[in-house]
Amino acid sequence: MPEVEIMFSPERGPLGSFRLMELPPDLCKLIESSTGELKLAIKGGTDDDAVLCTSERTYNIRSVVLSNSILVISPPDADGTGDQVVIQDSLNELLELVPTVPRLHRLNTLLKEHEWEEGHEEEEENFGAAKRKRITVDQARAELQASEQELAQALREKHILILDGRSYLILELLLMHLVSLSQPHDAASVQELSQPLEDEHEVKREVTLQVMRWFGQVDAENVSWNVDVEKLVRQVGLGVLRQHKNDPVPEDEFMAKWNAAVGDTFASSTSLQLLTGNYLCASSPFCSSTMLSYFPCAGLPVDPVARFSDLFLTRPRWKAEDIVPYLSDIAVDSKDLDKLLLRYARALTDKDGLWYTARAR
Amino acid sequence: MIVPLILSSGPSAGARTLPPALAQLGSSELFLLELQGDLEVSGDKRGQLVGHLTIDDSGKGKPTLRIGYHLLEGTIVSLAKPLAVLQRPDEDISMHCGDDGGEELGAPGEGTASTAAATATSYTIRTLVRKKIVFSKRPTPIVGASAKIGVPL
Repeated sequence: MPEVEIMFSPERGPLGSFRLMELPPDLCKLIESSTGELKLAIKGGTDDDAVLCTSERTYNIRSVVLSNSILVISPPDADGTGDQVVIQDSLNELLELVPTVPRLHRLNTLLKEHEWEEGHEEEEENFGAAKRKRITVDQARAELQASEQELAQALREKHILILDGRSYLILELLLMHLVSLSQPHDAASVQELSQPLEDEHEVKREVTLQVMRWFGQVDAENVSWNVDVEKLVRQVGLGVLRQHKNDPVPEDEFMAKWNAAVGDTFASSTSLQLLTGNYLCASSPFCSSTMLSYFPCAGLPVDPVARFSDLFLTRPRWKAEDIVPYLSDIAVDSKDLDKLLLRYARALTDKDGLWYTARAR
Repeated sequence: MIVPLILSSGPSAGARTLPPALAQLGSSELFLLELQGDLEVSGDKRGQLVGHLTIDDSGKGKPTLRIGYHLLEGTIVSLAKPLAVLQRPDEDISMHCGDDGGEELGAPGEGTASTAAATATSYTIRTLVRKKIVFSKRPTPIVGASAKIGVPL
């Protein structure tokens, strides 16, 4: 029977230069099928827990301590004989990967100063340029623990968020002109819409164009705008809802306001479902209809513990279908979401259906 | 900061491979051997012999490890999840002046002194490992110094 001699490395052992990382099946496939153009990186600042990012996903890296020691053994250097192997390293730790949601909350902090709010009109003109100057995409890429794809998606979504107040105004103006000039909403003229905005409201053409791109498609020559009706209607709805953060509005009154804001052409597209995750509804003893108030999911903490305590402070009992929209952005999938609910909330079933309450501490 | 992981381009031509006796482990570049406890060595261990590893080639693949007068019997275990073996390239190690206890991987926030050097850190994925040899039993003493290895005791 052939025998192999195990030797210690002839050099001073570079202990710590090896790591073992456990690969989830999807990542393993990715690595095996890759042709060398694989983009994998570990990201994080000195105060963060490290995450591993592929081009599409983000994984939490957890270090697991092993009671056994694992020796990493390799073939000998040039001067060893054929039946010798050399111990390269001895490890007591394993890195585990757990899929996670991208940690994008820092993006909010990074961009906070550039947020536009109603009443800060004097910043209007230079805000677009300022934002581009302050934070480059590269900077964000290095700072944020998220994969390329997730970051790109977030940048698109957050731009809308950050512009909320303003884009609502611009949108209203756009809509007004769209309707008054009776432009077709699948091929509206960019020029005819941006001109009056620039003349009457000092909204620069580039800003208008950017807003148009978020809510539809502008063709390559910047001539026509194909409106994404659903997105546009949703944004206008958010703008209306935003005014009811602290004083709830009856549902029918809100819908009437919303319909009026979007105009006759789009009134048929309004639906409360578009605003899922942004409003709370409550029945009031004094009024037959449901009351709505503004409660944006994006303003809640990212950490599950804090998220749940915030949610249960807002209201002590949540219907299952009400709470789910407020958790979907911190859960990887529906299984993960169930796990969160199981861990941080208590389920109750009564004649009205499934309720969730806070876990007693 | 970003620490890139680079896929190894595979063993370079002319590099040594593992002895054919270890072919069952499915990798020609590296293998993992798990021991209960540690190898404790006093004195200079550089280039010293640790022990003799034998893998039964009769099909069952029973590995045995003889260290001095002790014999360990082990098993070849298929891992539930494959492991990537990461290695920090050598030039980095010299840059870190031997202190490479735990870079930002397991212990984030290690201090700012190493940050400048750490920005250049990268890891190479040397290989994927699907099997390991585990020696989980206590060693049995070999009676008689000339006892032949591999004979059941």
